[in-house]
Amino acid sequence: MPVKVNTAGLATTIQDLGRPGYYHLGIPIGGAMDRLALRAANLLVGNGENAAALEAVFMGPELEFTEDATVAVTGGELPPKLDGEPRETWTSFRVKSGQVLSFDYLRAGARAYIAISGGIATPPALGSRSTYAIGALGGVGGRAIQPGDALPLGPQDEATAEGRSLPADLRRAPGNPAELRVLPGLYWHRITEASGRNFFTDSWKVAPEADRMGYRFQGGRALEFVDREPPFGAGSDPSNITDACYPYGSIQVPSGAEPIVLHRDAVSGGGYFMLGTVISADMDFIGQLQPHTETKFVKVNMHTALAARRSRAQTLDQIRAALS
Amino acid sequence: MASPETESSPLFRPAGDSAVIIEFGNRLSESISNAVLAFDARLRSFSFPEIVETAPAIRSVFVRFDPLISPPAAMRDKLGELLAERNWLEAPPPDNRRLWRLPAHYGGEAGPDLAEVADLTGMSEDGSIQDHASTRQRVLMLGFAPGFAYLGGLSKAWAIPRLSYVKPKVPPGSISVAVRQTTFSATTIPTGWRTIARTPFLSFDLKNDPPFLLEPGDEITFDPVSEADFAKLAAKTAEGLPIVQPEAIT
Repeated sequence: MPVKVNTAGLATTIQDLGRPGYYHLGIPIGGAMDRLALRAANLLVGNGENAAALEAVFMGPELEFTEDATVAVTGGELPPKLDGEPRETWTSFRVKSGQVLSFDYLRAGARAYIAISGGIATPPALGSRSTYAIGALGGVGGRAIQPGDALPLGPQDEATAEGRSLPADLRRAPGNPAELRVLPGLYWHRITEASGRNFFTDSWKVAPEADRMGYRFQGGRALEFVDREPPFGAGSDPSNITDACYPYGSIQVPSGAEPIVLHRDAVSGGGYFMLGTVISADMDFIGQLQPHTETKFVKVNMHTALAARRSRAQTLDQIRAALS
Repeated sequence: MASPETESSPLFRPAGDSAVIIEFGNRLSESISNAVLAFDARLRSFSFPEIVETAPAIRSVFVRFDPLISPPAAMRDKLGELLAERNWLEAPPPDNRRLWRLPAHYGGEAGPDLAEVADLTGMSEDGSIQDHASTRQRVLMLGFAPGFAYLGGLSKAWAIPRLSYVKPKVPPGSISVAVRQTTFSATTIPTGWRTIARTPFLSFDLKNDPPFLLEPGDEITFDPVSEADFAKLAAKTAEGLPIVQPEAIT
């Protein structure tokens, strides 16, 4: 029996861990922007970590249940209410058939993950239920949820526990100001040395254009480019290259003005140079940044990036151990 | 790190902690495209457990891997061994390439920038259509958006710049040109290129099996059709019926 969508929130989408393997055909990896939060939400309700859940941005939906289920809300601090009664985030709770789940105002972060026991069972597309709106793939008919949608659930395990909670030290969230660690690279040689220094010393703010495709940042100095003859195939703007793949997390700076960190639904390639890549361990944090959040880009080396990736992997193991 | 944009030997461009781009050159050329496709095929013929996925582009191969299985330095050594196997710039084009003759309606609402493009090529509108449609162009890269294809092979007359702004939306099948390349989309996309025509052919459609029809290395010519024929063919595409049968390139 499905979950009815009474109100949808702002841009609430169905997401799992994404659809790797189609990048060479122009399909981005997609999936939850805060993957650790999605995994934790699923584990809290007894789902597999890759089960499809709702990713709500800034504002929660209102959902009416037509069968009993267990729910957990993780990620950004978006306090759930059951028939108007507050419930804890990062903690599983039971919902009875006929009850309505709604949300209070967002207190912190940007994206909340709403996992329901059984997982959302919309039809997968190319191996994933993740909504990729630009390609009209996954989700409900390839789009964000809308009022009137009925979200099917997978088979319920009768004994799904309630009151399970993730210890506070395992709930990752970005600092304030946010720090995003960056490995310089790719086309770093296209900008002047002074511009390279400014990029890391300047203070940036998340721009209003911040979504699943990418996060734009404003407030730092514009980049200056080293002179060159554009190679055959490249556009004439100094920020153009002959088109190439865009790695997940790479930072492109169209016309040198405002950096954009490409996120999970970014186009898979194009003709803008990239000056580096946000380290993989910090990508979850980006999904939790609100517009206007002060942000510093911090230059790191590969050793630090790999240590951070290992540390994040250990956190995931601890989350699994805490919720097994 | 300050690697110059040379084209003497393949270049590693570290793309964060879990990807690398191997560049075979900085520009568009057939031998670079052959090198990219041959090296990507070689990589795919192995099942390296650390490699999550690879993607060939116009002049580079993207490799995403798990650095906790193979740290970037070890990954680079492995890739370096494969790169040393041969001079990839002498690789032949891939096997099983196909020629697609795609119907396209030029000008009008389907190609709003045709007049401007004709000014830039120095040919008449009809001359531009004729030249563009009859040139055999190669699929260099799929990507940007689902089913989006980059084609190369246009003559120097087509060395026209991209627009200085981005059009927020062009419909599926839009055929656009810039810098001696053609692109066409299978979905609604934004573009900074000039749109001259529209094809009713969709290179990506989940209703089809397989959903993706083109492969890099395939070649394309366009067959100019009237607006009425475009509409008829688009209706067939909408029903999931094939409108083009490719020919083998021998």
